[in-house]
Amino acid sequence: MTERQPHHSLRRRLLAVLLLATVLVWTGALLFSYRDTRHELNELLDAHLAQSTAMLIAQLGHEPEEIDTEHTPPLHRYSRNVAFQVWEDGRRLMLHSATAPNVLLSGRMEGFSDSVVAGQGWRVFSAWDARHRFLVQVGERREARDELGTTIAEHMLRPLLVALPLLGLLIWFGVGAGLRSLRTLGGQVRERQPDNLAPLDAAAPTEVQPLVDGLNSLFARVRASLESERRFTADAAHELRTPLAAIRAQAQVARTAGAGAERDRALDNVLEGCDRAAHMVEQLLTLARLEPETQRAREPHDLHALAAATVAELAPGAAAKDIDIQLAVGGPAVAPCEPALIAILMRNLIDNAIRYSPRQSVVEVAVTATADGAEFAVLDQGPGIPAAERGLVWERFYRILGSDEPGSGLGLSIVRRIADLHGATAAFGPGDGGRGLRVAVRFPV
Amino acid sequence: MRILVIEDDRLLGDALQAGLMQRGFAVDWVQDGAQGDTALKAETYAAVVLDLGLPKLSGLELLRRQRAAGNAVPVLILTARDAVDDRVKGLDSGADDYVVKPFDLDELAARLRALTRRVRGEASALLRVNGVELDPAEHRVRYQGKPVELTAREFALLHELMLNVGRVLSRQQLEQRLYAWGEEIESNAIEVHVHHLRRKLAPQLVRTVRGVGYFLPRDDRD
Repeated sequence: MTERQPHHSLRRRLLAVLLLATVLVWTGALLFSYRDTRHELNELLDAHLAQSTAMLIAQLGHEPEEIDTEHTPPLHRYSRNVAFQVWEDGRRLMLHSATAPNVLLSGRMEGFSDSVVAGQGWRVFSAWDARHRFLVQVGERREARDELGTTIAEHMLRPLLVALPLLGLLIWFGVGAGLRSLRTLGGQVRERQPDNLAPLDAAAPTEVQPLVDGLNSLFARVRASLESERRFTADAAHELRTPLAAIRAQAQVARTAGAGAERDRALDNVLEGCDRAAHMVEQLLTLARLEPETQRAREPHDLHALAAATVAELAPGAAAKDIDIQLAVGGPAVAPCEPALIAILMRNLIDNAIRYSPRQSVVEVAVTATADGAEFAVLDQGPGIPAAERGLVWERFYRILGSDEPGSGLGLSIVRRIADLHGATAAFGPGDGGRGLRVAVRFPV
Repeated sequence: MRILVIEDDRLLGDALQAGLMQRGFAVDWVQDGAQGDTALKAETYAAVVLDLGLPKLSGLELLRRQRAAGNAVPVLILTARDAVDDRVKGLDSGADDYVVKPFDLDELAARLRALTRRVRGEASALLRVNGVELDPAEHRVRYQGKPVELTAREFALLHELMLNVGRVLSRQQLEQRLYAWGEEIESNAIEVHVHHLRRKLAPQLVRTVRGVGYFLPRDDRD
């Protein structure tokens, strides 16, 4: 058995899809909340800038000159990022924090503004005091705000980095556990003996049940077909034993007999036995070829023409037995069929009629178009078949008791098989006036 | 020894009849169970060769009927069915032997001889009476150690007499056992064969009971 590389792993695919989906959703949610957080943070920090400015202005109102923050050490590491300037008339720098540059942080317009001073980005709030004498500017390095944002983003992302592998592991084992029933099922099928065609009894989850049902139905069909094949082979082998026994015994008689008429007769019998066995093998092969269910679309053919050809083929044999074989006059009767198979069916039925008819009798073949299809019928004046046996003769190797005619016991099985393949029905009935036999095959349109 | 063959297959039945006749049996052949039943009621056979798949009356049913009627004739079943179940069923129905087709005619003949021997309770295949030694399998007769040439019919007659040593067999009984149906029996055929036997073996070997029949006296040494 060649190991076929699987196209993909369900487990890996589920893992990838689930992780990807998780990352996408998570990242999306993070982006939104990051944006919100940045926005809130900016507002908060802006408010702080505005408030700080307002406080400075309030201080200036009383004693601006006394304020000396130039030497105030930074109280908090974050305060390095914050700077303020007090400009008299907006031109002379009166006061500033240690972190502040010597040039205006921003324009002289009141309110928030963004600016770049000496290559550094600043967020600045500017305000004039009530008398419009001092311009107070409180600024914050943009860099600091960005760092803050990055830190926040990192803090938000960190759980994801930890969670993703964890989630991956959970998914991996979860899916693995979920697929265990599939593996169990696979193991069961793999370890099966080829002749074990019993249904699988694995407890399968809903999703796998169709597979189990499908397999079981396949097993059942294979079992039935194997069973029928085994029966067929056994029947065939048994049925061939009698002709073989006859050939062997006749050959032994010939050998014991020595030269003369007795040996010639035995040798003739050997040949006849071989012909008979060959005929049986022929019929067996025909039947075996018909066994597989081949449901094909069939072209319509004229059964009357087919019957005429078959009658013509068998007429010489009938004449040798002084049997008058007739095809009833009729128009075309069309039915969808495979002509080669129908010819076999017709030949078997007509041949049977000739075989079992007494000398100097009549065999009538008729094809008629009926309301719902076509009917092929053969009527003979032979011994007929007792009503009780009319159903049994279709069975393989069934032979009418006490019939002297050599036959394989397969002809009617072949007829029925072909009829079945065409959706046709075949049945025996009494002949004319209760004498002889009438066999009719009805074909649907 | 007269055998009844019940076999529906024409070629096989024909071969059985011809082959067993070649091997020294008188053979009647019928082709269905009902005829077989009738034949078994009408005649006495040394053994029966019975096919199982018979028309009209199946072989097993025929066998059961015969056994139920008290007929103990040895029956050899000849069949295509070789499963153990089939064999067991056949033997349990009252068969004495079971041969699967295809078979060897010589083996079949040997089995038939063995069956008839067993019925008589003899262990040896060789028959010995008063210096006459008869080998049914090899179709050979010796008298006081010397080979004697006999025709098939003479051999069959001697065989019957030796099988029934000490018993008087009528001319009709001998004819019935030596000739199958349809075989022409020349008038005084048995007398002629007895005459030849006396000439080829010993004058006093076959005794005549006037108006009744013939017999071989028991061995003096017995």
